[in-house]
Amino acid sequence: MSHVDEGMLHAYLDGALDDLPAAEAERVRRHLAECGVCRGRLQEERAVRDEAAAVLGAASLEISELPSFEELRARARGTADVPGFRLQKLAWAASVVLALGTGWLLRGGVLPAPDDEAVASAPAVTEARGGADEADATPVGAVSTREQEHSERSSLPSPAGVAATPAPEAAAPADAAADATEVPARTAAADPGIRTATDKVADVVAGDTSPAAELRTTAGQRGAPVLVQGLTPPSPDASEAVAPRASLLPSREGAGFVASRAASDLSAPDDALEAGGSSLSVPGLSVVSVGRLEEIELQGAVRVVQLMENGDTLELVHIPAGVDPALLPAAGDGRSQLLSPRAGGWLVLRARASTDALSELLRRLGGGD
Amino acid sequence: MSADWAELYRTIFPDLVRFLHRKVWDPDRARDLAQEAFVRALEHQPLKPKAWLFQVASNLARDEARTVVRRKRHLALLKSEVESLQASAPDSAEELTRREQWGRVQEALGALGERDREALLLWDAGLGYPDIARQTGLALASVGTTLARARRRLAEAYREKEESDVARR
Repeated sequence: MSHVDEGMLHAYLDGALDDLPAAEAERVRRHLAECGVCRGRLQEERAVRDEAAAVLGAASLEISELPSFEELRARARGTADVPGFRLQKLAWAASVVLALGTGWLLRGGVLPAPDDEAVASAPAVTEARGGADEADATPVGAVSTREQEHSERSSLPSPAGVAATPAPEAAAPADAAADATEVPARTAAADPGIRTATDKVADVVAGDTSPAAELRTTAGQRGAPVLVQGLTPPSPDASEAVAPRASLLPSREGAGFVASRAASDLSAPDDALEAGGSSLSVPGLSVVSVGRLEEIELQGAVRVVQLMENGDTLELVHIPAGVDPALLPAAGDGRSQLLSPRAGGWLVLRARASTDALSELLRRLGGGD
Repeated sequence: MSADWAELYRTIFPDLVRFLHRKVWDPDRARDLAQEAFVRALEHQPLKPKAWLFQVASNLARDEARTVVRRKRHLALLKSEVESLQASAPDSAEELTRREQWGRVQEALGALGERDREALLLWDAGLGYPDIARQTGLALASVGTTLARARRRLAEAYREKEESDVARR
């Protein structure tokens, strides 16, 4: 019978054997009960594990005070007066929607009906987390549970004689409840406000066969980023002028949210969206941030970050005509990259996804040259 | 059943800040990013909040790191993170010791491969093997092996750094 490898020894020490196939878990337990060599190795691996935990504990922050949860909740609702980039970026995404939607509506267009399929929830995957191995009365010696482990970490000696700051608290019941539900897939239905308003207008404007093709023709010229005019930051006066138009948007809660956010923040001083807009956001994904690239040699390039369904980010960079896309820093982090001609320049999509997946996102984006 | 977000916040936020701190090495920034992750979670209401929060936090830290790298390149700031940590004036001897300690840990973590480091930090933050596998792209059966390698390498790198610091004094 072959010995237990170190990965399994660590899974045993971490109380994670039950996350593995039952037969494999049983084999490991039985082998450890019978094999003195592996029990000796187990003690060695335990020492390695404790030493690593102590090293990490030496760089553990002491969290003495939590920020107000109510303030965070208010920020999430968009009702807090929060300085900084986040709301400003969202406001700009919203202002794009408002500007484009208003322009199109002024041409007599009608927004399409809500797309039920697009807001369907992602499939839920349930996962039953097994218990720790400590319940087993093995002759190997006491093995702490995961929860005990957290407690143990706080008492581990710190390297170099420096007192470690408190380790993470024991896992709360809420944690266990959270672990037993589903994968961290973001559902489109979770943010109907952002996706509905942004994407519906984006769909209309980017589609070649819709009346919005007329808008593209009039708003942008060949060789320049499309929709430049529609995305020029409006003046405070302009915001006053277009805000009432928000009422023309569908009365769904999401659209109302975007409209009201846009109406209140249109005067935000940010010119980063000049070349962004609907052609730079994939319908169905919420916009996390919009801004210009900092590299001098990439002047005029605009970067939009969106949140994909799996919680990872999608980066879209529009490189204007006349700028070499090779100047863009490497994707890195195992991310794939896709280049597509766009508005005389280039559109670069980057994400930790296959190139096929990026191609699909590009297809959803529409509006290529 | 909807999540008790106030309770989740109370129990997860400290771990999330510590996790982020070991990525950005700036306590204030780590707190900001953790709050940002929670705000997004409150907006999205994910059904598996803890895993979702750490995924988003990891993405935020990665984006943050890229921005920092770009900024540094253009400003020609060639100091290492550790050097800049040490260069900023500490308030006290205790603070100095703590920053030295952070610098050692940071260097030791830097000796790990990216995925090994991520797996180790996620484990230390309290995530289980299935969540670690999902977030890092590892096979479930490989998480133990990855953690074993990461722990050994971290301990070795830290010892080496400690010995070289002692020899230098």
